Amino acid sequence: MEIVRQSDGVVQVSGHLHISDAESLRSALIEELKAVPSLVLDLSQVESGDTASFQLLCSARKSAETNGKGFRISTPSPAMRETSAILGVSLENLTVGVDGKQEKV
Amino acid sequence: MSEMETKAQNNWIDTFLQEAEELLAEIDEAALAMSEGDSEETINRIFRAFHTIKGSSGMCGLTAVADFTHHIETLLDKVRSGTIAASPKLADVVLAGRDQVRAIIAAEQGGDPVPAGSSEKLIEVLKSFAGEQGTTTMPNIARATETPSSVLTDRKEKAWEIRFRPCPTLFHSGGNPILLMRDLSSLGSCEVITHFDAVPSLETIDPSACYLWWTAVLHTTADQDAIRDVFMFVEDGGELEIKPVAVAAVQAAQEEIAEPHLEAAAKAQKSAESGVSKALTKESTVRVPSGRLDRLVNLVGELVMNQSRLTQMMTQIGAPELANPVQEIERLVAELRDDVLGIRMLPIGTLFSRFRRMVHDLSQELGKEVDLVTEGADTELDKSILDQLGEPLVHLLRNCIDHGFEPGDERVAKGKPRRGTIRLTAAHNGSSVVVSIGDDGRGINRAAVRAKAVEKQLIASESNLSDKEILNLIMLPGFSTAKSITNVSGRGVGMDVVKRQIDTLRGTVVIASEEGRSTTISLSLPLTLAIIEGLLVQVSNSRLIFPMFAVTENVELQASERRQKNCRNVISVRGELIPYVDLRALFQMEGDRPEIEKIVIVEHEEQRVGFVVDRVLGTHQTVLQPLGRFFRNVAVASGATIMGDGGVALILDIASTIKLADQRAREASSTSILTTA
Repeated sequence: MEIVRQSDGVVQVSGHLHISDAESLRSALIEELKAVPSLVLDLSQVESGDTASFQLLCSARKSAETNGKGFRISTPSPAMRETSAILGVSLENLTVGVDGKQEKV
Repeated sequence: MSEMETKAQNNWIDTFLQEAEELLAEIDEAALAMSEGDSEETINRIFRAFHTIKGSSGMCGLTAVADFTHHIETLLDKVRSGTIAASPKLADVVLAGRDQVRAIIAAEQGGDPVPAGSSEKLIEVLKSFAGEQGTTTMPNIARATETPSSVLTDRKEKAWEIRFRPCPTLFHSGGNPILLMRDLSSLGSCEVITHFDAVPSLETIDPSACYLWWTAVLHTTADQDAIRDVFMFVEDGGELEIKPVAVAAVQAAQEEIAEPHLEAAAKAQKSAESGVSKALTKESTVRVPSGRLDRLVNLVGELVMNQSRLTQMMTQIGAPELANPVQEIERLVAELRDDVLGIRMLPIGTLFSRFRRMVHDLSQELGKEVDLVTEGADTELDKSILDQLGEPLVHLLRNCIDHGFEPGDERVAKGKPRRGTIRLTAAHNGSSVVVSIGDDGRGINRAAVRAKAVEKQLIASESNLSDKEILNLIMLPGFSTAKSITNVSGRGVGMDVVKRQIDTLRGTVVIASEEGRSTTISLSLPLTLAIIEGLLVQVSNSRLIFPMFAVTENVELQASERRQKNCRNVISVRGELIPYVDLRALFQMEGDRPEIEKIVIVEHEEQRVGFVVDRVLGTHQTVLQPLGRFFRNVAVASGATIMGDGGVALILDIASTIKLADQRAREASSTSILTTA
């Protein structure tokens, strides 16, 4: 897994998201969410993601919501889409606007 | 990956490997049972085992294993649904598949790579088997997989409501919901909803714990058991509810409408639910590395030693008020010792089931028809002994199949059944377990054994040997009567290796054979190697311990009697002449002999031998401690123990001590002490 800050508020995560990376992804997300009013997570380069990483995305959404920050997932890769479909997690539902309200992608 | 994460990943793989080992053994056993015609429950067992392997290996990232297992599962699923009949041929295919799974696992763990194309070839076999036999049906198997709960359901598609809330440690134990949901979808059309209401925010979340839970509606022709099988290895500690959607709706309305068939439906539903909760509350077990158990045993050993020290000190300082608590500790320590040793006790059946496969394969390879009958599979032995027992038993079984049995025609001509039988039994006998391997083969040809021993210069041609001694010749190093060397046995390393291994386990080997009819080799083994009952004796300033199982009696040796025999070292006990070893002389100990010495008489290889000691101090709970590195080559002591007063007593290795004494006697007078009797 690799986490790259592309610009302010946009972070790209790429590679395989495995439970063993969950802790580093968690700290990265905490830090990024602290720094900006709204965070966009670019998942276009993710090759695979496991349940733990999906759970972490849910957690990030919750954090954003409680802290009044925005959070959005952009262009999920086909692998991420497939996994989210299997798990029954709607990536769209993971989006929160800056005001803490859910927003459509 | 950080070091900790790598460690976690390795832990999963370790857990998987242990689990896979057990599952593969179970498949072995079940497949053999299937080849013998026992097909109903066994197919379910085999299927579940492969299914678990597939799931767990996928979770550990061992995709090669999961992919291959998938093909076996597909075939087995057809057997379960009744499209393919269970048969001995199917059992062979399953066994081959099982071996391949093991090979792939070994290869993934850095072992020998799987031969290129072998998996593909086997997959072809599996596929063609599924196709070729596709027309045969075996309805009774299909029926066997149905449970009462599915009596309501015919093979029509049905809707099921599934609620799965896993244990928070799901990820730790390798559970992967993605695979679960995928498996669920493979049963029919499935709608999954993930609930993330319980997921905490980033600040408080433990990323390795599972907070998610799922509900799903599944439309499928599969029955409840098949659905539950999907969750088989993740349901521990979690909540799983599977109910038919229709019945669930009926149940809600039940209070208002009380039609008889609806009640029946609700009843069936209830029983199905209780079945689910039963599966969830099954006895929980904990996997513990055996190294930790060994450490526990060592600690208990030290506790036992310290406790006896405490008892001794209490009597020395004469504090009667301590008597009660000390006795209480003694009782508790004894209980603890028994419990801890009990944890390491495993039924010998785990070993036996391995051999069924071996006998099956070997008898095919050698073109002999042999059945293995096992008895006393639930006899328990210490794990450390069990671990070391496998190899000698393999040698014995191989020998038995290779040399022991006549070809089928010869057997028929002799009036024996064409198929030979090997009887592998285990039973308790006092403080030891006797494992014996008996066959109804050709027996041991004494003349051939004798001739061979003379030829190999193991005995002199004119030596006069008892029947027992002749039989024991086959355990001498370098002895082999096989005319041709097969790759099964007959390299002349078999029996002496067996003997040596059993010796190190403090066991004995006894051979009995009736020529032309049978051979039985019995291994007598101690229950445990950690703590033994010993007889504590004193020679000069040293204390020694005899393993109690060997001791038969103690007699006195008067100084006058010793002088009388004039160093011939035999004593008459109730008319029987018993040779004895003078330990003081043998170990060149200093000091004067007491006027009356004691002789500890032990039974060694069915012969009684005495050992002269100064005094017999009594029985002693002996916690065995290995000798240090510098004393490794001291054969006469098999270990040591620490006494109550902190001193050390050596544990006498009876076989080696007799051998040493015999050697000294030969050097001195060129006569063996053992033949003087």
